[in-house]
Amino acid sequence: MHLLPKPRKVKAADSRHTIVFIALTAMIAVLFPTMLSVGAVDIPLSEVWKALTDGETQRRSWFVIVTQTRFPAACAAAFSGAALAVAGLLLQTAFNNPLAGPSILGVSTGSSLGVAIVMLAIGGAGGFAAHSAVLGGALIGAIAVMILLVALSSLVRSATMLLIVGILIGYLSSSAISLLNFFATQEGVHSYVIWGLGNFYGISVPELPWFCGLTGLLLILSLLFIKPLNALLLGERYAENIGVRAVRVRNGLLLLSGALTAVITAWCGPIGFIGLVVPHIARLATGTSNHAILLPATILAGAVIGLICAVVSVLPASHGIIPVNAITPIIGVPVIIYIILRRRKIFYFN
Amino acid sequence: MDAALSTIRLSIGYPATRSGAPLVLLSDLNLSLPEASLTVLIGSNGIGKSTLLRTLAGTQRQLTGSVLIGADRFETLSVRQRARRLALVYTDRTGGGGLTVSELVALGRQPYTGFLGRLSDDDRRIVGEAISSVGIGHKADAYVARLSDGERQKVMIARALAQQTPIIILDEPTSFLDVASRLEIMRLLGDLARSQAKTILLSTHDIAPALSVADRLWIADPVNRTILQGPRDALIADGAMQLLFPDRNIEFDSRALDFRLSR
Repeated sequence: MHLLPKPRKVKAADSRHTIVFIALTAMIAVLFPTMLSVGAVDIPLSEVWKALTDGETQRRSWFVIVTQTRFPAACAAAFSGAALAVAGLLLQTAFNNPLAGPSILGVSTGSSLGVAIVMLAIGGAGGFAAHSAVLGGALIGAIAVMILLVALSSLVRSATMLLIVGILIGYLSSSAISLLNFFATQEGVHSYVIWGLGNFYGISVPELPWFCGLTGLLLILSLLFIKPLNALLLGERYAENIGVRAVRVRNGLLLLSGALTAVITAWCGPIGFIGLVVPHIARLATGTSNHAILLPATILAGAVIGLICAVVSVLPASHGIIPVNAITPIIGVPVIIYIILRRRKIFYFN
Repeated sequence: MDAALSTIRLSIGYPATRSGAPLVLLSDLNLSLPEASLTVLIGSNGIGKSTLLRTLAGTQRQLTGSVLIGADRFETLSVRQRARRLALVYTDRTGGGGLTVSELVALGRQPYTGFLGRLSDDDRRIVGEAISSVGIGHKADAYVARLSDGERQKVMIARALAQQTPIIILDEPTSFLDVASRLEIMRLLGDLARSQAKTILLSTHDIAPALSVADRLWIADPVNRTILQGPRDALIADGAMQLLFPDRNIEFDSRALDFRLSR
């Protein structure tokens, strides 16, 4: 998928992209097994390998921990990171705004509102039915906000104004959540607060293929937008002139990023910062805004950041798990500050 | 001479709203752009130059009348077909600073490439030629963000060339440029009309450099709300330039090809 002219001589930019892709893949290859090995119980990598292949581990509990808990969590971390990062990239390009992201546009909050309604209504009940209801609530909430944004985007043509509308929708949803909490039972509030902290351990083994399949499908769909995404870099008027139906593409991008956010929010809670920060990390690493390079790099970098958050969250070992939302700002905020301070020097802002 | 683009009884402006009557900016326009010529649109601020260009480019609907590209009514063409017939260049700086010059110019190939936007060898050759014909071949691998405003506008013109459309429309392409870049861009556009047989229409307030390269003029007459068209020298000889600013204290000097304050 090269959009780069003159392929005959290999240029510096091409080899830089290759190095970035190799480095990101290598980091995933290291972080994923690390995630399976460390935690409250440290399991040697050789035993992790046995658990995943022939199922004969020194201790029976290791097999259960690796296959029932850590493997789903590692998948959740990698796929969530990738999906949220791509959602952020699509929104940043669609709105031509480097600060757009799923949490900023109110999509995560809409999703949270859906979950809040369900959790507070069922008051902390467990079980499969309750779990499905939570998933449904998250999807409906996120998609409702997205449909609202798409509907408003035909009235509000300016991308910046639409971004502000998204922020306002987010505030409205949070206020509705606060009101719901006020009237809810203590158990309901408790389970909602726990969900809201974000964690990668909410996916059961039977659910895992659904989660990975759905997220993977949405990520593949995003790759089909590479060409119009590049056109949108020039703004909607130029995009129209090179044959892109800008409004239709923007609505498609909004729905796709909404779906990505909803799936992740439903299973893992509203995880902030990854969607905002990872596209910037990917741009700085690859040195390009060309989505043919940037989008795959964002997928890989998102998976890396998701896995780093997951590994950090189990560092306290026997003392428990740190909520994901306590870690993402520690990674995210320095990157954002760096970008703000250096924005005149960073190539893609000018 | 065949017209690359023409209009039939075209009126432009903004349709009626609940609160008011339609705003007609210019009406009864029967304009034509002959093939392989450079036409310069001149008029005072607010007369509707940008609206006219948007209407010709199909991004804004006309009030009445029609726009023909060759023999086809504009409305009957799909977005992709339009993209192969007419390329646009706007005034303002665009995004895309994180692309290299050749990546940005390659976006002009999008109407021809497939679903994934993969470039063929032919596409790459066309992109390379477009970049060298605007004189920035040495910057092909530079980030667009690192270019001067004048170079950036040349990149946008190269993108329009890579689009291989018979017609290129430019809305005040030199507004924010320094005097050297203004002259270079006007010269470049004049050369492209001749050497590559492009039909070029541009609006501008840079009267002297634009007139020096123009084949034909479209002069917006604010009194009759219409446009006078014709070959440059004939219109200037007829005194059409004096119609541009009827209530202002300036006059056109046909030797300097520019306006000066009346004495």
